[in-house]
Amino acid sequence: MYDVIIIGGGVNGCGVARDCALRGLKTLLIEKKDLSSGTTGASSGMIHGGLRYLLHDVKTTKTSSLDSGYIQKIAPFLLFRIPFLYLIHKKGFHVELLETFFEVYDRYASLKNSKKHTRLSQQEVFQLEPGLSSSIQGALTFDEWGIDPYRLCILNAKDAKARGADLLLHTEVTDILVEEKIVRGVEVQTSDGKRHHHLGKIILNLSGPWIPKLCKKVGVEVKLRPGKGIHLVFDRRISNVALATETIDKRSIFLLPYQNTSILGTTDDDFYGDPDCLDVTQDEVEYLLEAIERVFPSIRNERMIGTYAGIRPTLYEWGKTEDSLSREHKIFDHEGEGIKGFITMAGGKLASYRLMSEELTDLVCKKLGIKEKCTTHVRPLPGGEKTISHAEIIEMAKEGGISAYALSRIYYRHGLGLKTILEMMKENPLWKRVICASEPVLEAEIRYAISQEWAGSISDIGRRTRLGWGGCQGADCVWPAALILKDVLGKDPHFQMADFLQKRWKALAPFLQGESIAQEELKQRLLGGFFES
Amino acid sequence: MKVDVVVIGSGLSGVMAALRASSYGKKVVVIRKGWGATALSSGAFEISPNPLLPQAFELLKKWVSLRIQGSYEENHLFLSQTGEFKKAAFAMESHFLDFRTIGRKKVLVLGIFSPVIPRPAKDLNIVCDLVPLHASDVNLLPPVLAKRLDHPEEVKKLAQAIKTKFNLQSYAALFLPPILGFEFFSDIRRECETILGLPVYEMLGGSHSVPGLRLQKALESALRKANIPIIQGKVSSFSHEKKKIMSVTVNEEEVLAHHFILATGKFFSGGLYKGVDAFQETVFGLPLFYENKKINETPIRDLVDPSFSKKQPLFQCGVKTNENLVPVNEYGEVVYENLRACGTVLSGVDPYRGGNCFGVQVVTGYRAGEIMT
Repeated sequence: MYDVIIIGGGVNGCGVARDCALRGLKTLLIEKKDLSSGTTGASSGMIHGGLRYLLHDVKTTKTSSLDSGYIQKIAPFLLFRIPFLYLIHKKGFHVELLETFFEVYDRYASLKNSKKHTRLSQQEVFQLEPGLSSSIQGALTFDEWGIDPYRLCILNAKDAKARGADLLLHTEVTDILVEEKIVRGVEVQTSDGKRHHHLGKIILNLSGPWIPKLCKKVGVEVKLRPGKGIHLVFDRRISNVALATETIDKRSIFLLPYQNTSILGTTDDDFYGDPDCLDVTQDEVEYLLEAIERVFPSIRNERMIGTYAGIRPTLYEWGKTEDSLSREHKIFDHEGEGIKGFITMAGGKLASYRLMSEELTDLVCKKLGIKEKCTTHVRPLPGGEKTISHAEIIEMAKEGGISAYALSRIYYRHGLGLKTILEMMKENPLWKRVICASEPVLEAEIRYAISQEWAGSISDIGRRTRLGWGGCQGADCVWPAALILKDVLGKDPHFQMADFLQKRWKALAPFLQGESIAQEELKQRLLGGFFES
Repeated sequence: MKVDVVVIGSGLSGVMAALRASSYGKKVVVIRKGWGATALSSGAFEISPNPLLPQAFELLKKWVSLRIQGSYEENHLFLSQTGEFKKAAFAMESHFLDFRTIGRKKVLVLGIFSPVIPRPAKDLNIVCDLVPLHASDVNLLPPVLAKRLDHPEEVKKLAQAIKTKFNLQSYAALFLPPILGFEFFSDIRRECETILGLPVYEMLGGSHSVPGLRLQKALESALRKANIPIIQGKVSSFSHEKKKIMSVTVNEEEVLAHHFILATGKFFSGGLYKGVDAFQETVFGLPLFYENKKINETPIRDLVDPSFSKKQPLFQCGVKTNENLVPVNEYGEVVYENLRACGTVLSGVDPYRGGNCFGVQVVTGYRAGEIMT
């Protein structure tokens, strides 16, 4: 019998699982696909205060900024500073007005270890970013923190597991067991089609866009106003710093140098479809390209390598535009509707996941009569116990006989966990092999992801290591990665490869242009033979 | 500069056309911006059985100093490093094993750091393992390994390591990845066979394909032997008078000629490009077709199949020609009368699916080079 059963393996599910486990609750997390494969993975990957929320949603800005500071302490290796230019396009634009706005944002800067804004002249802007349109008059600077949302989930989940929580991935909740208006547990279906029951005292519905669907199963209602957001991914860091600008309908969007790629996002449109059938449309792609092209004209010549879409589980409100909807979160205790032990949490942002988790866990503890206090803001995530300097990494790489860059990327993803991976390579020197050259990802890290981080497919490995997510989009690495999966888990490599290639193709084929076509042609040359009849 | 024939592209079809034109006594020059898809090819030569112009292939064999094996009448099976048996009429000698002669005898297949998983391998008795390479070699690419094996002492080392690791007496043949040297690969293979005491074959090239590089280099040495110069550069513009091309400009030099041959390949090689708005043939701006439909303005989504595993219309697009390989527009009219196109830049030629791309490249190259006037 579990104290708490969590449905949904996004950042909230993983965050709550960690908090519950740390407070000694017997915890079960159930996810129908992979960790971070829904909304969390489709985010912009930033722990930001949210400049644009300042207009509608001051509370969100404050809580996000405050919690950003905590996350920097518990996982220092996982964050990277992203300097932003807020571009001023029009002549005669009242910079002072905008600057006043930024001065307000500056008040939150110290909470998140950010620098205060500065004003740059046209000349200074072009020095920083020569690729900008000559119509740019100047810019204001600010900064935010980037984070790998996948790693954030995995690390929370790993810590939960280390504290005794159980995880069931690729397992779908098919029913919620209720007796006499009290929840008793869940019925699940595993990927092999078998059904099981798991009993628990409290069930948390943290399933994001799927919240309403799950609520229906017990006859309660939580209404969302789901908003679809898409991003485009480019093969390299196109700009030196992040560029923020406005779309035709005066929305803020950005082009972000992100890890080894650039991402351009995002849209925000009401979504009425099925969250399981999410496609990026030509219309959305053009909307973003057109807006960024105005300030960064060469964007059309850059190589787009993918697109992704996600659904924000925004709280329901009638009569507002998508952008002005609050990003606040809300906890719905369905006891008031007559179902005891069933709680939903909706809304919120990536940046406030820890705070939301704390709030919800507090409620769970209160219901179970547990007095333990939250420690997730001071207790480091796995790998964050101690930082390693760049000089030390260079030294360790030399000793281990691998490239310092590859090791610095491993450090970025694993923090101190890099020692385990180095140990694996010491025992098996062949595992120093570079499998994905665009990241790079070494064989040892792939094996680590499979054996220690629940990776069971090439897409799972991608979420954990960024394998196949760079310029080559799997052309070179997908087959050796499939063979490693076969070696460790006995999976059919041809199926694994075809599955990955199909997912990537679906997200890119309708928008292919320029050099992306040449890259796909190369992929056909290398891998097309597999599919020849 | 003034020549008789300008060939644009130095892949298989371009070289074929250049050699053929040169055999008529024409003064030929090849312009190319770099290596394209030929340098990445696998080493298997896919042609339809009983091809139209077997003499074209015979000439190629004569001109290009690569030992090629196979037959015109039927396809043979060639083992790739990812484990498929690829069907093709010919391949470079080192890849050619007639599996029918093996029977139930065991064949040893060694991969580089990843095992080879042959499929389907119904009637074959294949044992898979890894080449005994040192762990410090783990990140060397195949061309680097091949270059290293151009040195006789390295070949001996590798052969000895294989001999020590495996009991070769129980095997009828050994398959290695295609890393047995660049310059001297025929000799190196022989030496391996002598040391190991069994026939040694190479699998087809995968990424960083050594056989592709061998073919590209062999084609270029054939050009050198025929005294056909290669100009390294991109054609930046061309001039024409009505329907006649007068010259192309490369590296800011104008090259005048009577005949022009387009052998620029598809997207990867740079012959085709899709910009913000439209598809383009990159040198002369020719109209492009997919199955007789002009596609210059067609949106990309109409040229891709949603399934990755299917044949993609996108990679069958290209230039349409009349029976003399002269490009035509959507009304069937000749665009430039002294221009011919050959190889994968042609529409309907899918370099990756379909199984006769090599044949089309050789035959169209041969025909495009037939310039007697």
